[in-house]
Amino acid sequence: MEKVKKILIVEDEIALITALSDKLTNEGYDVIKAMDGKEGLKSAILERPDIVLLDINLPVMDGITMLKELRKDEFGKSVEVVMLTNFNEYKLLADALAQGAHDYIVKSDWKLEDIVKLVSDKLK
Amino acid sequence: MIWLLASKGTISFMPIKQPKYSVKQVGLLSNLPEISREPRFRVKVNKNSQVIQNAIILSLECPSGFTFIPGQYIWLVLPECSKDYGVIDRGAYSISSGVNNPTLDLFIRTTNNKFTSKVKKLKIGEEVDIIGPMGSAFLAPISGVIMISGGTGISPFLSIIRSHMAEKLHLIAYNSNKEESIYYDKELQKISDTYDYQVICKTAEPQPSDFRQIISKKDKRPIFISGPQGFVDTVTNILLDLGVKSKRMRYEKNYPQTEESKLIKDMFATVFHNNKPNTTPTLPGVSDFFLQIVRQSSNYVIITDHNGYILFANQSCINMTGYTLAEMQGQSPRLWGGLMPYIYYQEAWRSLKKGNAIKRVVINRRRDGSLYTAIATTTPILRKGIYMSSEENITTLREVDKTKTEFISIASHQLRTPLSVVNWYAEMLLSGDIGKISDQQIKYLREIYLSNQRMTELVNSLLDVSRLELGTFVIKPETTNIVKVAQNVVDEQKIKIDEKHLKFSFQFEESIPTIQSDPKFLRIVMQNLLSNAVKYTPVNGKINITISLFDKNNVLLKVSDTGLGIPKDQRDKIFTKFFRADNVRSTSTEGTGLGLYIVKSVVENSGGKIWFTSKKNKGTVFNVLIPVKSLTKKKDVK
Repeated sequence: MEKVKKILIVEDEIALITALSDKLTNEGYDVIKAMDGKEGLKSAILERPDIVLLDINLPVMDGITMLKELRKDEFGKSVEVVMLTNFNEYKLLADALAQGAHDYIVKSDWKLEDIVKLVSDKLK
Repeated sequence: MIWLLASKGTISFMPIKQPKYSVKQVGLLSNLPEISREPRFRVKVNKNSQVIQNAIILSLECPSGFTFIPGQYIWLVLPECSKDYGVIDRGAYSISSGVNNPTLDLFIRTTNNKFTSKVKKLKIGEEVDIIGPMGSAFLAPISGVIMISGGTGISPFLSIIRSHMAEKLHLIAYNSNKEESIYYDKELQKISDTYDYQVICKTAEPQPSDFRQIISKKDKRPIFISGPQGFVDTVTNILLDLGVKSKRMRYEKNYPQTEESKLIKDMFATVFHNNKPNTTPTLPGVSDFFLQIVRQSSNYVIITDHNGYILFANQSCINMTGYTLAEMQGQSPRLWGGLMPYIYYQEAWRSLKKGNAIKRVVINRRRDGSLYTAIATTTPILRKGIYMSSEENITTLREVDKTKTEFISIASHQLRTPLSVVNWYAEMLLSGDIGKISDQQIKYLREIYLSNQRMTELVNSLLDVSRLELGTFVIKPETTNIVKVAQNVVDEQKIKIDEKHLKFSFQFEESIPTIQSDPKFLRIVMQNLLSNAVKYTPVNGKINITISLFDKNNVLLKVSDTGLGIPKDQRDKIFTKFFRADNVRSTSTEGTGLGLYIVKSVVENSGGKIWFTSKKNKGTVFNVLIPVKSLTKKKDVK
């Protein structure tokens, strides 16, 4: 049997992280949640997810810093990271992409359905 | 608008013709350069050599991004003066090197001046600040002209010659200092051997015989004369005696004076001389009453001659620019201007020479170095070229406008999170993820979902507008298949097109190449134009999109519909922010009035063009020229 893919979502907005994790759990993924960058970094290294959905604007440690730290780790250096943002400003995204993020999702413009599709495509 | 009126006498202070205002805004009000962005560079001294007695050439490294037009000048700020923006603590020098040189050469006389003696002591590697280039207001690349210079009047010409910005030049350079003259002769002969320049350097006073050979009646070449006033007087008189028409002669200084400019100048000479702005000068024929109106006006008013040199300035001008009347004397408004792109001034002159007034937004620099934004109106007020400029300071207005835009930006960002929450939860409920819901519930949920989608679109539009106005909308060109982008946009709107039973066609030339453009920008354009067409075309109407090659540099996108059309009297407003035409407002409440504003702004930001034709109740055709190579718009990004 194929191993269940693990997704780490790092997002501080409780309503959003709940919706996302419920949707992805329904789709059969193993979802881990983190509410700030520091916690997210710890989970990423410990749990070794197949993909990380990472918000940019986070408390304690912001998404860009978390990504930077993650890329220093042996496992984290290559894990797939998709940025979650409502600040689709180029500077921040450019920063994230420069730090090795693979893609980004503008939350208010994306349907959950499309996010599921993106995730499943990436995990194929 | 204020006119100087003459109650009697020979001066007619009436406009040449009824001024036609060409109101041109340079970019968006809030898209103008930032207040703090003064063109200031810190550079190293490459060479500081005494070429002749009392004159040095100071070579500075040319900072990257520094471009200038020959004849422009820079302010040189020495290290010990670098914090002080006062005019006295820095010197303005013409650049005498060519435009492609890795160094900026300044030819500096060093006699009897504290500043220049400090310049003389500058060591190689030492750092100085340069501000500029300035003074692009009254210059143009010139070919095929005769140039006559006296003393340091040669400086702007040297720059033109060394940069090879002009061909077929004929320069006669006078210099009473033999050493200087020999130096120039040697320097310039080197260049004239290679290029089609004739250079004659003389140490004697100008003589009629100097010009006889070159100034025949058949010769129509303009003559540019530059140098100290006495020199310019002498040369001009000689040339007039030789039968040269005065209109052939061009000057750097306010010379020769027309009768009118002389009168006005005399009138204010006492004011300038005493530097007492409250003294009322008198001139027979000019009404004190009207003069007082101009003087007391809360708007800045200056009067200049045909060369742009200041004849009069009112108290508001003194307050606004920080320069005293004494400092303005013999200067042009470039003393505080010259910050706008060269084309800005070129257009203004073109318009003024035709006798048309011009009104635009300008950024100028006060004596203390701070910048201000103003709406500037310049009007020709005399037949022989007397101009009146008036400025209204809008710096605060602009700041308020910017604050408002920033507020919208922040508010829109904050709105996006709750919008996402509603979107996602409604989507989950609708998809049945959480359990089965009744048809009635589905209907209600759909309304919530669709309304929320509309709100998301509105917020996105507001964000686009604020980005455009804050200059953070960055166009990032990449290899793009324009047909594919169009196809995607069409697919997204397919449901709405079908719902209204619209006959839709999409045609494109097979030969359309991939272009260098930002797909995000193309999407915005097509999405807005198509959704407008769909929204405002009645059931069973027709919509057509074509993409064709317009010329080798541009692709033409056409979106035509058989919709309501744009009312004739509202066509000039159709691209303005929040504007919705009367006929669409009465048929549909949906729509923000932002779409076309955004479309026009992004199209123009990327170097394209947009225009339309429309007939009431017959339909509208929007044409968009999209450059095959889009301009990159790099502004501050947030």
